[in-house]
Parts: sequence; C-alpha cells; structure tokens
Amino acid sequence: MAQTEDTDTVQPLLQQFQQLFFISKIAGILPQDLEKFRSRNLMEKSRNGMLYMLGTLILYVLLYNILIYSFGEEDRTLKASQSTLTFVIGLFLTYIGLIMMATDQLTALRNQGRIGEIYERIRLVDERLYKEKCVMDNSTIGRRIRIMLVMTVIFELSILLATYLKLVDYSQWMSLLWVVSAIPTFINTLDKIWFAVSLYALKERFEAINATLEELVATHEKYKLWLQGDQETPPQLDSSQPPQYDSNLEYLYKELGGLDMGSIGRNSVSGSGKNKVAPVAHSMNSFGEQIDAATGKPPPNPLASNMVHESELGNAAKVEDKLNNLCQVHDEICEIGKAMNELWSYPILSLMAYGFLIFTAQLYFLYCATQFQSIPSLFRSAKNPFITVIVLSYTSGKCVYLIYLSWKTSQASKRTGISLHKCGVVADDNLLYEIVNHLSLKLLNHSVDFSACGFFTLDMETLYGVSGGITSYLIILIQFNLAAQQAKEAIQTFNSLNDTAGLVGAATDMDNGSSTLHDLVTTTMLTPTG
Amino acid sequence: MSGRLCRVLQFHLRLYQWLGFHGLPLPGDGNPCGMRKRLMAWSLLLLISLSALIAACLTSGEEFLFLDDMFGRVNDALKYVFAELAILAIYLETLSSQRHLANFWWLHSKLSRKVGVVSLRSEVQQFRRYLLTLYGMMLSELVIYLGLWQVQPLSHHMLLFWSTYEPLVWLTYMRNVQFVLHLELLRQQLANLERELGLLAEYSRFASETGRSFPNFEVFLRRRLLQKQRLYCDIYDMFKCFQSAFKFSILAVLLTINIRIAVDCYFMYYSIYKNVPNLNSYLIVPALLEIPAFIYASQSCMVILPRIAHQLHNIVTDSACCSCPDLSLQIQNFSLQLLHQPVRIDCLGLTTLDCGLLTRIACSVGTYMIYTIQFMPKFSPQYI
Repeated sequence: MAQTEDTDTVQPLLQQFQQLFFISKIAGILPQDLEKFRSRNLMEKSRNGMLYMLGTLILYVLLYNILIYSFGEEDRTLKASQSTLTFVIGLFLTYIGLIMMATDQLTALRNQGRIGEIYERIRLVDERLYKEKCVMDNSTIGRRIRIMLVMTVIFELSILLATYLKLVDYSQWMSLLWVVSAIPTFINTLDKIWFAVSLYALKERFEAINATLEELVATHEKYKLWLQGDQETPPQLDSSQPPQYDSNLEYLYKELGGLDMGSIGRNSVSGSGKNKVAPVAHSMNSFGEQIDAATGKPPPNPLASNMVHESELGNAAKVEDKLNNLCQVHDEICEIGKAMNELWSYPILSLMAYGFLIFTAQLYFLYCATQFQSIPSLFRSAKNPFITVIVLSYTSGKCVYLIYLSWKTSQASKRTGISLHKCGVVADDNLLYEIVNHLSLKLLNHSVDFSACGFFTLDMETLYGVSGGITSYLIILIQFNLAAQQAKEAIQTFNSLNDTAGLVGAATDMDNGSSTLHDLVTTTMLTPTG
Repeated sequence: MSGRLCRVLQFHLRLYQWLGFHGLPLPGDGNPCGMRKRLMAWSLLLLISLSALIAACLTSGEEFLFLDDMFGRVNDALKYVFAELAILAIYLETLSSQRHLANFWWLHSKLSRKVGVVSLRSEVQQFRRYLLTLYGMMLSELVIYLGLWQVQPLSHHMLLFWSTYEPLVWLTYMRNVQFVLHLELLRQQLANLERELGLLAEYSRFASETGRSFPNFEVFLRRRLLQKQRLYCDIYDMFKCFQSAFKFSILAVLLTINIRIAVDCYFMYYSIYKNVPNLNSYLIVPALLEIPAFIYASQSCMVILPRIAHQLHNIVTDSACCSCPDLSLQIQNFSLQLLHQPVRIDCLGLTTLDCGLLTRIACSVGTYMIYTIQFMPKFSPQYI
C-alpha cells in the first residue's frame, strides 16, 4: 500500500478509531479483520468476522425473545386490566429495538467492503489538503470518540441498573435476563458513533478548507495594508468625528478576544493565534480608523505584520491552482459525505423511526403509569419519572445529535462559497473573478445534504416537524386512553346499576341507569360543542 | 451627541441595559471594562432573582396557581415553566454571546459612519417602525389592563398570578422588541444597499440611453459595484452576528408567547363553556401582536434580498458607451455571491421566520385548541 510512505506526513483517520473498533468487533457490529486494523489501520473483509457477527446477531435475537417471553407472562395476566390501546402499542413496539439492531448489523455486513474505501478516500483528501498546507489534526476525533463511549456506557448502565434495582423483581434468577434489554440500544449507539465521528471528521475538513480560504483573504488584506502604509497616499476623510467610539471599540477588541471578521460564522479551526489585537505601528497610529474601515480586520498575525510583502492572492495565475485544488477537495468531501450517508441510510432511518416511536410511547406509558394503569413489562422504566427522563434524553440525544451534526456539516460545506467570494472581492482582479465565478457555480451545484433514505433530510427543520408530531400524537393517545378508561368505568357502573336494579326490580331505576349510561357514553364518545 | 450612536438608539440601548439584555457598554461610557462587568453582574442578579420568584410561585401554598381544578392548575404551571425557560435563555444568552453582539454593533458603526449630526425628528422618522412596535405594544397592554380592571374586580388569585407573571411576560416582550430593533437596523442597511444599487442601475440606464457619460464610466461603475459587494459582505456578517447572538432567545421567546396564546385561548373557551365571567383572556391581545411584529420585521429584511439581486441585474452593461466585459463579470460575481449568502433568518435552523411561520403557528394553535377542548369535559367535575 502507498500508505506506508505517507504515515509520517498524514495520519490516517482510522488510527483514532482503535478502541472503538475493538469494542465494536467484540460486540459484533463490524465484521472486518481485527489484526489488519490493528497493524495497518485497514478495514478489510473477513469471513471469520462475518460468521462471528452472524452468530452474535442470532444470539441476541434468541436472548431477546427469551426475555420477551419470560417477562411477557406478566403482560398476559394483566391483559384484562390493561387498556387495549396500551396493549397494542406495547405489542407493536416490543420488537422495534430488535429491528433497529438487526438493521444496523445487517447493513454493516452489507457494507463491510465499502466502509474501508470511505476512510481510504478521507486519507487521500487529507493528503491533498496537506499539499495545500493545511494539516488536519485528528486528535480531537480520538477525544470525541472516548467522550461518546463514556457517555454511552454511563447512560446504558444508569438506565439498566436503575430499572433493575427499582422495577425488576430480582429475587428470581430469570430477572438477570433483563440485562439483554440493553443490548439493542447499546449496539445501535456504537454503530451511530462510527457515523457521527466520521461525519464530524468531514465537517472538520470543510472547516479546514474554509479556514485556508479565509487565511488567504487575511494575508492579502495585510498585504494591501502594507502597500497602503508604504505609499502613504490615502487622505483622512472623516477626522471630524469624535474618537470616543473607536477607543471604545478598541477596548472591545481586547476584551472580547478579538473581533476577527473571518471567524464570525465558523468555529475557528485553525485558531493560530489569530484573534489578537496588534496595532501595526505604521498603520494604526496615524490613521488607524481609516484602515480599519477599509479592511474590517485587525492584522491577523502580529509577528508577520511588518514582514509580509507578498500575498498569494496578488498573483492570480498562482492562486488559480490552489483554488481549483481546494474546490476539488471540497467536491470530493461532498462525495464522501454522500457515500457515507448512503451506507448508513437504513440504520439512520430505523434510528429515527425508533426515536420517534419510543419517545412518544415512553411519554404515553409515563402518563399511564401516573394514572395507575398497568403498562407492558418491557417498558417498565416508564414507571419511574427519573428513569424516563434518562431514557428520553439518551434516545433524543442520539437522534438530535446526528441531525444537528448533519446540519452543521451541510452548513460548513455551504460556507466555502462565501469564503471563496471573499477571496475574489478582496483581490479584485479580473482573472481571479473568472476563476471565482466558475468555482462558485461549481460549489452551488455541489452541496451536500444528508437524508434518511430520501424520506426526510437530516436538518433542523425535520426536528421542528418531529417535535410537533410527537406532541400531537401524545395528546391524541392520552385522549384515547381517557376515553377508553371512562368507557370502562361506565360499563362497570352500568353493570352495578343493573345488579341493583335486578335486586330491587324497579323499572324506574332501570330507566335511570340507562340514562346514566347514555350520558356517560355521549360525554366520552362525542365532543361537546359548548 | 455622545459617540456615534444616535439618540434614539442610545436611549433604547440604555433601556435594554437596565433590563439586563444588553451586556455591552455604550459608546461614551467611561471605564467600559468596569461597566461591562457591572452589566454582567446585573444580568446575573436579575436572572437569579426572577428564577427564585418563579420557583417560589410554583411551590408556595398561596394561590399563585389556579387551584379550582387540575387542568387549570397545570396550565398555569406550564405558563410559569415556559416563562422561566425564556428568562433563562434570555439572560444566559446575554451573558454568553457578548462577542457576537459586540461584532454586530461594531459592524453597524462601521457601516453607518458617514451620518453626521441629525435632528431628533429625522431619527424618529428613521426608527419609526421600531418605535411604533415598542410603544404600540406598551400602550395597548396598558390600555387593556386599565380597561379590564375597571370592569372586573380583582380576585386574590388573579392579583397574585398577574403581579408575578406579568413582569415575566413583559420581559419577554421587551426582548422581542429588542430583536425587532436589531432587525430594523439590518433592514435599514439592506434597504440602503438596494437604493444605491438602484441608483447605479439608473445611471447606467441613463448613460446607455443618452450615450452621454464621462470617461471611465464603466470603471467607475465597477468600482462602485465592488464597494457594494464588500458592503454586502459586511451586512451579511452583521446578519450572522445577529443570528448567533440571539438564536436561543428567539426560540425561547417565540415558544413562550406561543404557549401563552394556546393556554389563554383554552382558558377563554373554558370560561365561556363554564359560564364563568372571565375577561382575563383579553390580555392575550398584546401577545397576539408580538409575534407578527417580530415576524414582519424579519420578513421585511428577507424580502429585500431579491430586490437587491433585481437591481443588480438592472445595471445595463451592453451599450455603446459602456460595453465592459469586466463590469458584467463583476455583476456575475456579485450575483453569485448573493446566491451563496442568502439572508435567511431562522432560529437555530429550526424554521424560517417568515410569514409562513405565522400560518403554521395559527394552524398549530388551532390544532392544539381542538385537542385541549376535547379534553375539557372529561375533567369537569359535573361528569366525572
């Protein structure tokens, strides 16, 4: 592989994935070969891994079914007292966790050859970026993976232990099976960590491109400033204004860590000691304000302010290559993003479906539990509000984080166009305008949007829609539950009234009873019109 | 005149400082560093005291909540909880996003530095939309309150509830009006840009029709266009600053007002249904006006963008006097830049704040009303 000679220049992204890969391999999420990954950071197909993974899948399915069976006995005895709605929902949602897990594992099996390619492509992108003098730092990714793993373990363990200790009858040894209930979510989360971290890596690469472009702009502005300072031409236009506001602004610069215009919309990835105020000796003293207006930016690097006498943007022919390369890399990252989205499309769809259904169901069962109705035994965590809060934040955290990250990545990819235009505007050169216009059109046509199988895009608007949906469904469900509950009570009242009526044998009582029933039925079934 | 801010702005920013919404010193303040620290401490103090107030209301045995039935009680509690959410979002954002806010005002001062001394009258004229929103809201709320208490006697519960809840509501309204102020500044910049581009388009048309222009006219046009492009870049940055300085509180304020409208609509229906004379519900009228005021302000910002593009392409390039390929290149570049930098005001990307949102809000309030109305009889004691 060509990778050996590059290891000293570009670190492969997968190096950071060692622990995650190991855990995933053990849990049976990825079929790839462990040894090759360890030694050479490669993800290659492996027959043994595949068999092991299928074995784990079958084992999990078996265990889960035993769990359902052994804990389902309570349900069967409770069926009479449960409302039909609760029962049906419970039945419907029993297997959704399992379906989600199976989707993850089967997709991983299907993709086993292709995931490696993705990371190989990312490595190539890194190399190309390195040639453009922008080095990717992957150590944040390793930290991110560790944080996510720890969070997953904390959430899973706290849910599992709290439910087990509080809500499971642990006198029988069968209750140990309850551990199995955590497997589907755990496996799903591990799989999603892969996706999330890879997505984050893509976002970092977009941001690195943006940072490089902004750097170009900043250098050129400095260059122009230097030219201006050298020639001492520009006359002072508005010296009549009182200087208070500006002194104030200078203060704000210092106080708020710099008002570097370039870093407004992005998280400063490069952060190379930029945001410092360093009044350039020859420019700020005499007409600092004027230059401020012209550039809108403090000189980025205090050291270089007096030395930099050239800018890449000054030479259009030279910069053309660089811009072209950056746009091609951008394009490639977009393609990688699309490929990655395609690989994980079914798992994401199933996760979103799971998130929506479980969130609604958990809240509904919480309501049922507060009304002292019995709920399906697999959802017993809903009996305790605190455990419910943890479960909800875990589930929604997963979904929302993925959506948010996809949205952010897509935003970062769109920002490249803005930075490109800044380059064009600041250089003000006809050749460069032509290049920029061409590349800008290209960027407009290459945007990356993440979606779940094309059913919905993963952006914040979906989140808005989903939260609306959850609220509506919850209210509808609660209402049906109320109606069913009252109908049940009505029937009981009617029965007891019938009994008394039968004992007394008075026809008038009978009338009363039926009218009460009629009253109750109308109030529960029909909506009042005021 | 102190500093560069005009008097209307100076006065209102000072007002927001007193409310703890504006954590930056104004131009002309002595010792800005100390001032900033004091303002932050003031915001923090307000946050803590208001949160304590809400916590006290929610837990106290007094009649802060509607005690007669469960559902009304939950509704009142919901109102408090969302008010707390809004207060939390507002003050935490004031404390945390000062950098963006400072950027915003810095860009504003940079973009509008050419203005000399102007009369108060023209300032008022300049900010009429904002002033109308602010004082219109205050006045309508005051009139409704006074009118209501002439008609209806105050019960103990109502006195307690309104005297604690109303200040919170008023704070969210003021925050809302603060958004309107910032949006109005943004709109003015965009409108200026559009006007100037329109002038350029007119010059070029005149030159091409009459064939009379000065030498280097096209170069002049191109330079002007470039300057406008830079201007637009700054305005866009300003818009970005606005968005990152206020994203959470926009969401929280809209949500709070929304919840309040839904809850109050429910109560209105409830009191009619149970024949309770309750005129309290008329208090939602200002709330009903708040959201449209904000959305109108943001919509009027966003509609200028297509106008700018339109004016840009109105500039005549192919005529006898100025057939300049450079100029058309510049126009292309600007146009592409506009495509890349759309001014789309949204809260956290959740939803665009345009008039469509108004429809969606109306729909959702209607839907939830129907749901809650369906709940109603089952809770009323006469049936259970």
